[in-house]
Amino acid sequence: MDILSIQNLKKSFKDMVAVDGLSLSIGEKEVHGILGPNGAGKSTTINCILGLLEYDSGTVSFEDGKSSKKWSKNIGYVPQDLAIYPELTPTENIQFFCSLYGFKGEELKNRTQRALEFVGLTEVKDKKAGEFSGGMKRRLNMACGIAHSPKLIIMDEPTVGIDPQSRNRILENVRALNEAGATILYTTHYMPEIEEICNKITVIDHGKVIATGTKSDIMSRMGKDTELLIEFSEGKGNIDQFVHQVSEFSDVHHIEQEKWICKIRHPKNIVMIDKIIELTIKNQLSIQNIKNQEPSLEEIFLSLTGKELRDQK
Amino acid sequence: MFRLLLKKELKVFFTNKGNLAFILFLPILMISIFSVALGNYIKADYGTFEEGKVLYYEEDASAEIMNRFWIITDKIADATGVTFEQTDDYEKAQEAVEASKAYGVIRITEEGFDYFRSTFNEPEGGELVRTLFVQLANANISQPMSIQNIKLDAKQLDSKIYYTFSALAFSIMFMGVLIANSVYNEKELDTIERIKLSKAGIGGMMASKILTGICCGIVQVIVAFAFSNLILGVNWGNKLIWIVMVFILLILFSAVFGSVIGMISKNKSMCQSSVLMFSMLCGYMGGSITPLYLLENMPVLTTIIKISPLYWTNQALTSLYNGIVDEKTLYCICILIGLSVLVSLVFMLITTAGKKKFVSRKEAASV
Repeated sequence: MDILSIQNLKKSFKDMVAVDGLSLSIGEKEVHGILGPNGAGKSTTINCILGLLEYDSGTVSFEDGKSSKKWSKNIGYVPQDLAIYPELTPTENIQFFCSLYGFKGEELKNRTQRALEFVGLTEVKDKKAGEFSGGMKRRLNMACGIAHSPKLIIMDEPTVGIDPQSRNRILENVRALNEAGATILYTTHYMPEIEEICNKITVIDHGKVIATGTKSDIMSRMGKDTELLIEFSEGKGNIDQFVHQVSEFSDVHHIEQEKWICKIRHPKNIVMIDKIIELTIKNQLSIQNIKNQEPSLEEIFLSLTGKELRDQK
Repeated sequence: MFRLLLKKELKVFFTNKGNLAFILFLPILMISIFSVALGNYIKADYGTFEEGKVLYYEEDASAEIMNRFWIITDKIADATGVTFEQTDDYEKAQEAVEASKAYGVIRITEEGFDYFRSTFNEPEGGELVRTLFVQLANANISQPMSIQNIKLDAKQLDSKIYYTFSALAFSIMFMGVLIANSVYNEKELDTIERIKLSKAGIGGMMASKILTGICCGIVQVIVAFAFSNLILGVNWGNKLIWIVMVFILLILFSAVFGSVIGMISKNKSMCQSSVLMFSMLCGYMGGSITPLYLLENMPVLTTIIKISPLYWTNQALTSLYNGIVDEKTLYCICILIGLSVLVSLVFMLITTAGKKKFVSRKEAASV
């Protein structure tokens, strides 16, 4: 069952089209990653989903067709910028944001305690948030968005600018939230995060969905090539001649040589290994290691959008 | 829900030492500095008639003219208690009038009377005596002259008293800067997004900011009251509740104005400088720096100053200090409430008619 359904969403700012007929659905207990370069329409889409921005046309409906206004108590939002009060302690911050959803008394205390434990800030619960490191602030930012136990958690680049330990902690938290039953909509620029935690991915650019599905879905649809990586024993045989001969095969799209390592890209449906072995023997080379590798998500993203993800920041 | 927002606001507001210093020390600082530094401007004591005197200078006047002068001045002296003293140096007498040592100086010549008064420093008592004198001097000589027995119950108004009220009102106007900042911070921190998503909404947030401003303003009034009473010896009079009410309405206006500017501002410097400039302008035109009686006697300014809410506030506070609830007080109350409502309506119009959602920094950036 879909927890969020977006149909033909359009949003323009004067002459600029930010979201152009975007459709997307997120199923229950999914960790759905949205990928896209800057200006792709990610944040505008999220703001339309949250009801923070009015959209021109299309529909955004939640479970049972409810609007964001009616369903807002079920949404947890972890914005990219730190939406916390630096003058207040983590306890006060979490209590305040949680109480906005109607929780009070013991229930509020318990939820605050649980959120603090979840993000690992119990020991510093009475210190002012302004004194925290970037990673701790990010964790508190997350705690403020999840303390009311929302069904859908929207995380907009929650790991920007933090140390690897804090990032790992946040990713662990995301997984734990998902295991506990929450659906997560996650945007990030870091491809490994998407690969690590998302079970469904949507690639958007210029306000349109370019590809959506599981990682393997996208790869099978978009990634037509495969890459053969061969590592030869050093100093044996004529590698330059080998590279030259391989590059003359019409089915080889690309060959890259770095010392005694070669990367050969060719169509998936063409069997190349026999010809490669033959040339290896001819050139008196000795194979130390050979493997077939799928293109990375980053490479697929590049081929889909023509833009490097990490360069966008 | 609203109680939670207010509680958080007060906590955030009072943990900031700058805010605390602003609330506690600004009124004291402004009252002290203005009442000392600008003390000379408040020479025009609103004195009682008993303390007032009018000088006269005889210059080739006939017996008939002098006789008429004695009749007029006797009547005024009987009615008001003002004394008339002869002077033999007209120029020195004029200087004395300018220095508020006398209400005025009357030059008596063969052609009649020439009443000299200070253009900028004439006190209320002096103005009344001059009016009486002119009326009697122009009256028909054959008819018996009579004037009502007038008693002016005005208190002595010195710089300490004047600036206790006007400087406090000025510092309250600055409350708008803190509120605007506080609202803008919510946008800058993106906490506004979380509030928007909750039941509280923007309306609840703005109301809590305004109420926080009112609480802080009340603290300022209490501080100024204690300081002026205990240190400066200023008695706020018997219309204390009215005075406090005028101050609360002024805080309401400045907080509403500040919160609206905080919401519509696109950057922090614009937010701060616009409220600051507005407060300064209101303060200057409203008589919080230069006394009102000086501004009222300046051409052009005399009309322009009336657009400042502080002009009406200071007018009302002077009346209330003298124990009078007059039309000035009612005008002030109506103007402050009216302006608060007007600013709120303009904000609502911008948000609804223009369908403009006040987006955060991040949303604006994404656009």
